[in-house]
Amino acid sequence: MKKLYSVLLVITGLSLSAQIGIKTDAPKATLDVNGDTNFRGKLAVMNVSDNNKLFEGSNDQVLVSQGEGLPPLWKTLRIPEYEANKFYLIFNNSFSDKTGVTFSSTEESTNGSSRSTSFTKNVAYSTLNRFKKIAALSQPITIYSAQSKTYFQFETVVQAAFPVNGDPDISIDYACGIFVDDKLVNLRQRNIKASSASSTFITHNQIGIADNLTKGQHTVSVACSRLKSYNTNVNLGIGINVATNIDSFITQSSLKVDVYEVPQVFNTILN
Amino acid sequence: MKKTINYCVIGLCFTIQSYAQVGIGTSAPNSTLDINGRTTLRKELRVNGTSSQAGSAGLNGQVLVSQGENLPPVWKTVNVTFLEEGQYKLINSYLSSDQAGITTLSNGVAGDGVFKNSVNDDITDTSKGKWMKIAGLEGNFTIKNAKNRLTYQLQTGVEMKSSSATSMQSVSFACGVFRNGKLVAVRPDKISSNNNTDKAGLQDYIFTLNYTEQNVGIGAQKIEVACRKIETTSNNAQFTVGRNISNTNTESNAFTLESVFKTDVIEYVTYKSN
Repeated sequence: MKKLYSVLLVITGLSLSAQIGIKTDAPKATLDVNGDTNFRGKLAVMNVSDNNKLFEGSNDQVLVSQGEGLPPLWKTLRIPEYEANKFYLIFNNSFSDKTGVTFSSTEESTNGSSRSTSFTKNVAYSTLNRFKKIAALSQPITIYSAQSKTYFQFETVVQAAFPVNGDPDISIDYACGIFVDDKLVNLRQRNIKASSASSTFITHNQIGIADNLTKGQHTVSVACSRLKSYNTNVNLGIGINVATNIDSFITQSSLKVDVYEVPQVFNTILN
Repeated sequence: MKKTINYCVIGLCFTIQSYAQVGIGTSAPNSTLDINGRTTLRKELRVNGTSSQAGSAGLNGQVLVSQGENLPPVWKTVNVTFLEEGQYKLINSYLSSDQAGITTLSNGVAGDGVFKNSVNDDITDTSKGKWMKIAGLEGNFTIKNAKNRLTYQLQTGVEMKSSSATSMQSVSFACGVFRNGKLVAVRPDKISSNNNTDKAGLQDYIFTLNYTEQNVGIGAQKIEVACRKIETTSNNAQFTVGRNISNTNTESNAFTLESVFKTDVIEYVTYKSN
């Protein structure tokens, strides 16, 4: 019994001052096991960033290295629990533009008098009249699955260099379209009307959805048009100011693209 | 005493090196080192060392991966990121669109005159508004975690046609989101025509609703979108939501006025249960 006590003392002493080798006389670490190790209980790690608390991990967590000199940590992998036929956010990106597009009174689109027949789903950009693209919003997006919903959110500020409103009302009809590979997927039209102050501006918010774009890379773009003017010939700016009461920072455009997919392509988790 | 200790040290080392498996908390070890209890790592865990070189401690962010029987595990890089404690995570998104819209709030239908709503108002309670559904936007899903956020985003085109091209008319309206038949989100808005005869009283407008609901109960959820007419300057003004008034107007169509609706389900992630 006394002997056993001594052995324990020695082991305790060794652990403070020396390295222990099991099946090796040249241990290279505090404990060097030249063979397999069997954990019958939990493997706890000391969390140096949380008051040196011991953390045993929870179900399905993996042991993650923190590199030299630090204990590893138990962490949860960010893997979605994919359920059949549900849509998950796979791709998203957002873009902005401060240059916008400007239209004089002579740049009205002939589509303004045939809106119900001109503005249809998938109509080609090239067949539309005087739609101007907002340059920096033409961007590539990628679809990985045959089952997808692509969600577009476009916001800009529209300004007309109107005087104070007269009688009859002074206003301009305009439209903005979201295109994928130069095919129309969403269009909203609105009327900007002069108010009691000059150089009226409004925020234009537009949301569109495109179903099941083909797999691969596509180009999204936003183009706007001046459809018709009423009792006015002033300039219209979309994504850019046409009067000095506001500036190009306030009027800048943004486009956010989210692609939700029923996943069909799975990358390997391990590198 | 000291001699004994030395002996013990040598004896211990000798024993370990030559013959035996070492058990901690067990007298019958089943591997070179067999720990019958909790093990704590205060420093790095090195794997695949040799007699001349310490094993690899892995790079920051690498995970320990088994190589099966008789081989040491290895630290490997993963192509996915890790969840941090206490984050809200996007679980699912539900997207729908509709071009049928609402035509039953047009001319001849008076506003319901209801200017206030409260959360949980019932969709069928006409004293809380005469709600008309946009059928194609209905969605059904299940909430699994009591700590969550539901984010609704609705956009629809709205159109009106004044009964007189030379006078300005307006329609005040509200659109709301109902969960299991109870109101959870609502926004009012107003569409006004111009008095310019060239516009023939027609006006198009865009309505957008953004709303977040917190900590929705666990279980099945049915989400519906409905709108109502609050008041109008003329009961003869035509009014539609999510579609055009008539194709003969040629100023718009169901595509340019379509409704889109997205619900994001965001749930709380925690793993500090022990």
